[in-house]
Amino acid sequence: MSLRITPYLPEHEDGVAGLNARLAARGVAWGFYRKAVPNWLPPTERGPAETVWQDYYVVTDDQACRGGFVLKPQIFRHEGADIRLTSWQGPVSEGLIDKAYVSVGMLCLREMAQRSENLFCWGGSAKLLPLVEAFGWHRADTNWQIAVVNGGRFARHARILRQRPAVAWLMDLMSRTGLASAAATAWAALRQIGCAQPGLRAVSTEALDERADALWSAVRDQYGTIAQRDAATANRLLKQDGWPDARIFNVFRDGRFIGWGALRLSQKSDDPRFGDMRVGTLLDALSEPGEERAVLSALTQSLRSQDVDLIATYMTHDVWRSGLERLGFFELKHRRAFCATPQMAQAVGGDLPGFLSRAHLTPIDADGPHGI
Amino acid sequence: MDQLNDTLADIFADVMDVDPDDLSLSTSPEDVEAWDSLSNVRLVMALERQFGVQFSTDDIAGWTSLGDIQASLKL
Repeated sequence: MSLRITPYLPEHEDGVAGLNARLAARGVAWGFYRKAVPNWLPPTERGPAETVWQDYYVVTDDQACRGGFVLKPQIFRHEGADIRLTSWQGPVSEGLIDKAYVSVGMLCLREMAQRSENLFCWGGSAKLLPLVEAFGWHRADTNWQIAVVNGGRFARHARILRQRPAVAWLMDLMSRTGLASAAATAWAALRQIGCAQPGLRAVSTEALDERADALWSAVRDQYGTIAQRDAATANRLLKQDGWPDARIFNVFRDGRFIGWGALRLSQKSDDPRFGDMRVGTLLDALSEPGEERAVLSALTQSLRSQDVDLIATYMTHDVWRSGLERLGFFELKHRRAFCATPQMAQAVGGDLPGFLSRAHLTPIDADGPHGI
Repeated sequence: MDQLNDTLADIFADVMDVDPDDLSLSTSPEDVEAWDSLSNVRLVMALERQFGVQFSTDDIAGWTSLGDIQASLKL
């Protein structure tokens, strides 16, 4: 055996296809990227001067591929200074199906830590978390926020909540009797009392402009930590002609620009979390201080008008979470683990829960909106 | 190196919850049900703590048996 970790090149694509086929044949539902060049955030000619990009790596064994992982270096603003933090995705490992390769996962994690001083993962799989903890790396759990728009369809299709038979039975009963729809409508109406936001408008745009740059300059040091969101970086993250199929909106109050956001609509089909629901996702948002709830309100209104069954997101900053809660979102606790190497944890102050409550992280951060 | 080091065998047996007397230099992941990705990490961490070493990527990448691990530890 001659395992080697190397940047993923086009000549490895056949090997990756072979790995994916072997994993699929043994019932593993995921694999590594089929193409060597990332569809989302490929490296650019700017190299390390770029604010965010992805690098793919594979583990080779002669001509075969035995695993892979992704690193996404990104500039963050942290406590008033720029810092490069790197999120990881994976590893995918043949060790899942062949015990000859039990070392692949560990090799990948060690290689990641050697390549990136400040390394984190947000949303790792259930198989990854014990590995991370065995390494002695740090972990804190974060929450999902969801708003039920169509109570009946939510009750029938929300597999994320229907794992216990008794809960599934109760949700079926609520759906059949109309109670679920009535409850969702009543809850939304109750949350709106006293929360009227007149004069708000979300206007779709192809790309963010100098208004987003001015906003970024004004707010970047208001947060403990936030990934760079100048117009160029945000437009790169939210590329209009590719994954994650985002729609960008400028938000105005009485004609004045107060922030922007990005949304995605997806019709799920037999999804392990969302069944057959039509899900609207709040991918990202940024606002003037004090206008967080207004921006969220305008964005969620846009989704509600497009006949979604459910709106979902995961944001970490206390102010944004509070804004979502005031708009009728529920929090599903401990649904998304944030893991960090000891170096990264130290770089952000050592207290991961405290760091996360002051960090404005959204679904477009880390490895993006996978699985939502 | 013709027999398995006792300390290595004890650590391995403790991590994998097996009888150290059943182990040999040729013991491989296929021979031990509990030797998976997770227990492999625990094994490496335990060995590095016990022997005060840091295995290199090349070391770990070449392991196919307990004998390979013992060779990396130069025992």
